[in-house]
Amino acid sequence: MKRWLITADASEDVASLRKRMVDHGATVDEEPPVPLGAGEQVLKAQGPDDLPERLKQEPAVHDVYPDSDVDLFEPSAGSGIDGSSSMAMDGDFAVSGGVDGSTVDDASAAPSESTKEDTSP
Amino acid sequence: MAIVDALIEIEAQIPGALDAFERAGTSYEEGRAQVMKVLPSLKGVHLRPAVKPVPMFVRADGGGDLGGLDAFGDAGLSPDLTSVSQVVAAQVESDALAEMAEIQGVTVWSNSPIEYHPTDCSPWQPAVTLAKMWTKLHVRPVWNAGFRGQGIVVALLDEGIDGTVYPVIGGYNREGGQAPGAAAVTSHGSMAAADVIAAAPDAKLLDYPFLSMLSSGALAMFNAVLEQRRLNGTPHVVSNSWGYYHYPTKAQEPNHEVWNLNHPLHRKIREVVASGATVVFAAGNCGTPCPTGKCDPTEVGPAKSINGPNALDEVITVAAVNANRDRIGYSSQGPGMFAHDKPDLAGFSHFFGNFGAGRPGGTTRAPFDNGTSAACPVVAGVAALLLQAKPSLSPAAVKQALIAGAGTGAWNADVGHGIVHARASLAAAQGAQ
Repeated sequence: MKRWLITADASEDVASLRKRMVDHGATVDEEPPVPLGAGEQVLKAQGPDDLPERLKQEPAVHDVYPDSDVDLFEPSAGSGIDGSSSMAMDGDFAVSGGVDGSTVDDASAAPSESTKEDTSP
Repeated sequence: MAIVDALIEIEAQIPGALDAFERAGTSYEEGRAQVMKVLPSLKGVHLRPAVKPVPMFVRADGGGDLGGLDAFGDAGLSPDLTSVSQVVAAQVESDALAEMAEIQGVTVWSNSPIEYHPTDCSPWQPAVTLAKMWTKLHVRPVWNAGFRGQGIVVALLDEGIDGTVYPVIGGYNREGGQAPGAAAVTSHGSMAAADVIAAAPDAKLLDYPFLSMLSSGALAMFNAVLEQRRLNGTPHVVSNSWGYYHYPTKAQEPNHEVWNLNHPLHRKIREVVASGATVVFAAGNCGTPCPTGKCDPTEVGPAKSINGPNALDEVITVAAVNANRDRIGYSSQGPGMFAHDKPDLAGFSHFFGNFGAGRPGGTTRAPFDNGTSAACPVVAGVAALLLQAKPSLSPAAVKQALIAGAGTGAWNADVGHGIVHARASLAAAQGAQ
């Protein structure tokens, strides 16, 4: 079974649509549909790979789109950036804080722009 | 008196011009002699010792005359050519520029600085402290001007944030789902939170933890953002460090997110932008020459690796550079699969923000903040600073200010229009209508 997004008329009764989807082998999620623009709603569903084909004859359905898995944009293990890396740290590495909002504290304690590191014109 | 770098083009028919160019490279004297032969005598023009003229063979207006260059495709030696003009690089005082523009047969062109973007690939360059990243971001003058993100709310659509460490004020909260602020400090979302706050220390965060278990999908998250906008006009900025791997071919699935611009997710994102929120996306980590291991070989490199919502024209798409301003070798490359000029600009990654020894997230999950995942929220944080300085900025104006601040004007597939520069972007934003 694959995850799908089904667009339908906003005026379409969701309970009725859910029942009809079962006839096509799909199960619509319990969560409320997402409104889209002025006249559409989107329902999340699980269904067979050929659901778009099956729903072509369903007058209330506008279109069927995959609801694809997304992933984080973090380099994965094997890329060299992982916890086991022997990465050298920058020479003047120094952190004052811990798990107590130290990032904010670091920012408020930031030196002025005149720092020698800044080579901006 | 301002002095600018310029290219001076002088109409000059020099026979055997390629040979002359070769000879000019053999000695300073020869190069300078050739320049003196064509360059009008003018005050305020300064030449470097190694100057030499570059011959041109096709006129600016073209006219279809290829100047004999079409013969160069033939096997064997082709005859040398007569130039139509010679171009000399010089530094010119601004008064002389105006004078030069009046001379018949002389055209003055910009000679803009270019930056070399070496690639940071495994073995990686050392990560840097936040202080170094701030310096490269040129953010301190913006803070000193009073803009630290006060009153600005940034939403993070991610796997959740640790609200005991980062300033989470709400988000997507429903029964059975992960509550806003309830994620571990080692989460990817906590890293993104650290990186927003790294640029905008006084901004507040909304947590939409859709990539954690029991939460809903991206479409529902963007709709929740839209509802929040309706309720109180926040979030002002929405940061996204996620995307699609392993997409099918267009023939296999034409309605897939990477192929169909009218997919409901993309339409919902456009609705969020239309409501006035600035939406920022990471470019992804499938660039050459060192894509992350998650990438399928078919989705690596230029024109293939920026796909889905991060390729939408309406969003701001962020590539990654390190603090040396080197492109990081996994940063996805344009053109985008929807809008061409993607990425829009690059942000900084590979610094000790959430992750690192002594940092809130430690080193268990990562040794330092990394990926275009880290670069994106840094740029989102800069967008927050601009919006504090000028709340009337539209999402398009925020993008324009970021691009203007990046400064190169030209676009390239690796870093878009250049590298984020908070101070210059603030100036651009304050000058915007």
